[in-house]
Amino acid sequence: MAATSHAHKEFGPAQYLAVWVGLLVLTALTVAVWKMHFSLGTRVTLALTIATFKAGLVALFFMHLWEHGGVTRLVMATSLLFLVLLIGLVLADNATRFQYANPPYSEPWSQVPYQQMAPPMQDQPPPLEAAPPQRRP
Amino acid sequence: MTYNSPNYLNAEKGLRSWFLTLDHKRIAVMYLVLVVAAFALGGFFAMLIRLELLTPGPTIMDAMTYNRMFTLHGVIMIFLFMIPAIPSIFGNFLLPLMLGAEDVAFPRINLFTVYLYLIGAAIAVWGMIQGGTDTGWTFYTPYSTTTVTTVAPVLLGAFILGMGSVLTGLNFIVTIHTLRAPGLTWMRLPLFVWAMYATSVIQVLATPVLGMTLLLVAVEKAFGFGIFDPARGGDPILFQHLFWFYSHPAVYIMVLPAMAVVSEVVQAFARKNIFGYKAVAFSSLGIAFVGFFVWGHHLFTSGQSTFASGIFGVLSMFVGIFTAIKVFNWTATLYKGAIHVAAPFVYFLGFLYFLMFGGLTGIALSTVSLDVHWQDTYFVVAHFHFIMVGATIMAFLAGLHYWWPKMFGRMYSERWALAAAVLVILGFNATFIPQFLLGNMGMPRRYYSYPEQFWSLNVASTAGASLLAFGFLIVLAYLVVSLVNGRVAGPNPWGSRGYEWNTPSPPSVLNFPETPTITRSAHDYQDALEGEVTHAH
Amino acid sequence: MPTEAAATPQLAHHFPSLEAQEHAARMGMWLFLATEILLFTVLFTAYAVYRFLFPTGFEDASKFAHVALGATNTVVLITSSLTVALAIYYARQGESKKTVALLAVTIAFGAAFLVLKGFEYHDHFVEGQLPGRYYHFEGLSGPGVSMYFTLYFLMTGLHGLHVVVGMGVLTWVAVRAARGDFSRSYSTPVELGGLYWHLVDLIWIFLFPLFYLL
Repeated sequence: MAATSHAHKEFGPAQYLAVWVGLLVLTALTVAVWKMHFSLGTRVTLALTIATFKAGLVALFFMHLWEHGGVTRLVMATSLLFLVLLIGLVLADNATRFQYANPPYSEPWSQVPYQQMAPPMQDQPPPLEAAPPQRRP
Repeated sequence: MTYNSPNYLNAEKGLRSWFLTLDHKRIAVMYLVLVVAAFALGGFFAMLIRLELLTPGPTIMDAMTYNRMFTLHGVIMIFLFMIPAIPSIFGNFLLPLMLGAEDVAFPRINLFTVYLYLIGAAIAVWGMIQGGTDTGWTFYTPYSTTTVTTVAPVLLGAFILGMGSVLTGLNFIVTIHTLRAPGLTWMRLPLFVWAMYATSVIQVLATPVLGMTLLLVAVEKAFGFGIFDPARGGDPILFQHLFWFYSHPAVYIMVLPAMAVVSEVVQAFARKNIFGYKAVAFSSLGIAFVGFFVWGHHLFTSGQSTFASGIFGVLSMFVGIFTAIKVFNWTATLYKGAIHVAAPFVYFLGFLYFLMFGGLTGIALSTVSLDVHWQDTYFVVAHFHFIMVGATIMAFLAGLHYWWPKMFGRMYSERWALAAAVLVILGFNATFIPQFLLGNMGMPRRYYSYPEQFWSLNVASTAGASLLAFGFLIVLAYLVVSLVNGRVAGPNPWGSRGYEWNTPSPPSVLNFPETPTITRSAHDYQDALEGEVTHAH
Repeated sequence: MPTEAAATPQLAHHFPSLEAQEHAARMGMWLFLATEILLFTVLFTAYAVYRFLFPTGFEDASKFAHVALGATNTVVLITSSLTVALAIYYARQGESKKTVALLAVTIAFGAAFLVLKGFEYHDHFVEGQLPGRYYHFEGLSGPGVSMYFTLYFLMTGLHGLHVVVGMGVLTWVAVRAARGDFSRSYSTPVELGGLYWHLVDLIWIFLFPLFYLL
């Protein structure tokens, strides 16, 4: 009875230690990448790739997705799909918006032509200390 | 099978046995009482709104009171009635019966959701009345973070209600996966279960997003962190994105259960197998999936990019495809059926009508250029009242009449029910068809006053609303009377083939004396052996 | 039925077997974790939007993050994940003493994480690197800067709250393990508590690069 509920192949302490070492190495790697001062795009790509690998290690081995599979993997995959969906579609909107529909002084890449064409709205950014929101004339 | 355990209503006595019950059937009955009470409250505020709009200019209240009334109406109807109605009542009552199980997977969590509902409802309603929240149920920033009225309790209440909704969905998904009786394969599942499954997926995936978003609004209002405040670099449109990422799929939390109910009702009253079982089953999942890709059609005029609007507009139309698959299959099921006209069937017809009318105006609204004209007018109000309120209430009433004998063991008065059904359907049309016209003429929503040229149609709408309210009161009256005076129903008064009818009415505490083994589909009206189907008369 | 129930007291009446019940509990936990992921998704979306809108502001502000403390905390949480994974392993082997010890170590790691986080928060408070209208740091101003700290405090704050809840859950599991509730045939609560803790770790794995290294 006791054996039947865990009849599937299971990982032991040795495997967990190996995963832990892998996670430490990846942490060191991501800090090392940060110190090298790549361009923004490269940094973002590398940091998120490494983080995804680390998360994959945790999910597959520590959280037993490797062994259990089935519905649990589907649940995880679905929630990640919706994470990507929400971030992706919202960013797609911000990236293609008419300039003044984005917050003032924001500088998304696609707005550069607009910014060159349109007159500046104000010389200085609004003060950051506690001031009531003001309506622009 | 012999049933030696008492029925669930008589098994234990006293209020305590109800408040602490873990029986899914008793929990369903508690939800029935609570949700109907919420519906009455929301309906009361709807009548106040219609009374105010009876004449141009102030009638019975000032502008601020009116703003509070439509907020109360919206929040109560959506969070306290539409979202929990069918899943929490019929889902709770029927899922285990349809699966051949003794209970849902987590009975204690199930009871916990009732209390979350009570606490959330109490906080939200108290907050709105005491604090006079005037934001509408959408809580759009920056108004909701700068208004002088109290918003935080309503946000907190909605958050708690959301937690209950998540837990209900979670419970149902696990139940459907793990507690199916031997022999009940996925392709034998009743269509009700399929649609509830799709609903639960939306509840679990979308509701946390709303919860977090509402908390952010509360934090912003309380502390001024600036997350949605343009003066500090915040983007108010981001709030709308996050809000509608939940609130659009929430429309399918309301209408998918309605589809669940009518998929059962149409077969029972046409005495025919559903046409295209797999198409109806999978289109539920299709709606649930596509429903997550369309939220941006609420933002066409709010500053969203034209590029995003175009994408969301086109994606929105895909919902029409899956809905049409269902409508065609239900209609095809009627073809050459032995139709038995009773109240549930009349409500089914009403459902089809509201779904079609509301759905087609929805496709028109998802066209960006047309929406610019109709945005925030009564056209939109009438549209969503048709599709999500009209369709859902029709299905709710269809289900209530269809399963009433199963839940309480008594038949309602068919004559009164038919009269009330006609009254409700006529009243609903009389209320909202004038609003379609008003909206198209340009009358904006959420104003307590309007120019004189809109007067006559507003009078018509208010008259229709009175008719509708009268119809609901009749339904309530004869259903309550039937509990005492109704004819004893017997286990299967409609001659249905669904598994839930294989139990006595009302069902016994443990549902089945032993776990049943399923050897046939839940929808085999035509395949049934001679004499197996008992026809209702 | 009664004899079976006596043999396995943890089995609820509506489940056919302990195995089915464990399967259901695990699936319920995973669905709950999915809701947690979507809860954080809102904040990750906000981060993505504002990072995209204010690349310079975020880059400048992130120079004031304490990378050393953040990296240490990453190591702390990763190690605590290891100890939880081992605790689950030993619970399944029926070795309750090792389970309790490993859970205690995990809770201690959680506390260490919170202490280090507290040092960071303290520094930001002293410097005035605070969210929204409370921001009064002299060394840096400009669009998007206060938004970085708004998101920093919201996201790490919510994560910290999860750490606290996770410590509570693990304490409860450890007490039950010490009481001898678990055996080779039944250790589901250890596994579910562990899953929650791993999720907390998982979220930090993303928070660390987003706030410290970009």
